[in-house]
Amino acid sequence: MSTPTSGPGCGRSIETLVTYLETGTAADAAHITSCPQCQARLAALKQLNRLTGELLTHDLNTAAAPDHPWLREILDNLGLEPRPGRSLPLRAEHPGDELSQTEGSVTALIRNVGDTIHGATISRCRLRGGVTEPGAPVDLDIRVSAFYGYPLTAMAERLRSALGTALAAHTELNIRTINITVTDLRTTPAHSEEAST
Amino acid sequence: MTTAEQLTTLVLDVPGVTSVFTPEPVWRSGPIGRGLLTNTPTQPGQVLAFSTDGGPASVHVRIGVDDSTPAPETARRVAALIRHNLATGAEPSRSAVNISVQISLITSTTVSHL
Repeated sequence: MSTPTSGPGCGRSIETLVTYLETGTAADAAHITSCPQCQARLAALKQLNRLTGELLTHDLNTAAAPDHPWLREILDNLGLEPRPGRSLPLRAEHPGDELSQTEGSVTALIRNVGDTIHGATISRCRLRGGVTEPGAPVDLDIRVSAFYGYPLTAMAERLRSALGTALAAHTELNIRTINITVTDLRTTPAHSEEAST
Repeated sequence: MTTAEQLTTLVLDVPGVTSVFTPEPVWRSGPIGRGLLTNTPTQPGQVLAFSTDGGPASVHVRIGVDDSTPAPETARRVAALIRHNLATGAEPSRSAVNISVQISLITSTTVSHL
């Protein structure tokens, strides 16, 4: 049995978290350090910072200018993920126990897996289907921004395999399909610098 | 040390548990939280909610875990440990105990490719 995950979400903006990463302080730092949704989004932003090399040293709006639509999509989706989401039930061994995991924790797991695959950055992920019903089939839709020059089919297969393994280990979802869509190609920061010189 | 503090320390020692988060507002104000909360997030070091009003005791904990151990298994270990501790501790509970464990964050121990 599971209960609905509570609350409207913490509501902290992505800009607040970027400022916190840049300065190490925030008006409500105590909340940020104790909020799992904020922690998950901070981890994603740090990863994004490593990817772009310069995101956090520039204004967000500049960094996500029209010539970087993939970055805008990632930031938009991180901005949409301050909520814990649905409550996914976990099997309990005692009738008095109620075990669950938030949809947000699974989203963070999926992003973690994406960070281990060369050439891929997950820009958006959505779980569809009966995530709150034990055993019901669930479909996972992933949108990926990929580095130019990487074999896309092989990259998608590695990502699908890694996601399947991770979701089998860390959730009790009955994953039916993992749909991966490569939405855009981009060059690495190093390639961009080479091209501009 | 209060029961909530003891349980929080125990939970943090479970392999795979990386953090214990403060109870959500709904817990503090919702139906389960109408008992006598011995803990609030404003009390340093106490983030696990333990309540009893003379009836069934209730424990609610939100945890962060890493991927070194299957997350559902970690949640079951946490619940079993709390139940065992309440049954065998200095002041064993003689009534039913309801335990809620929610995984709120899963972090990676794997080094990123970036």
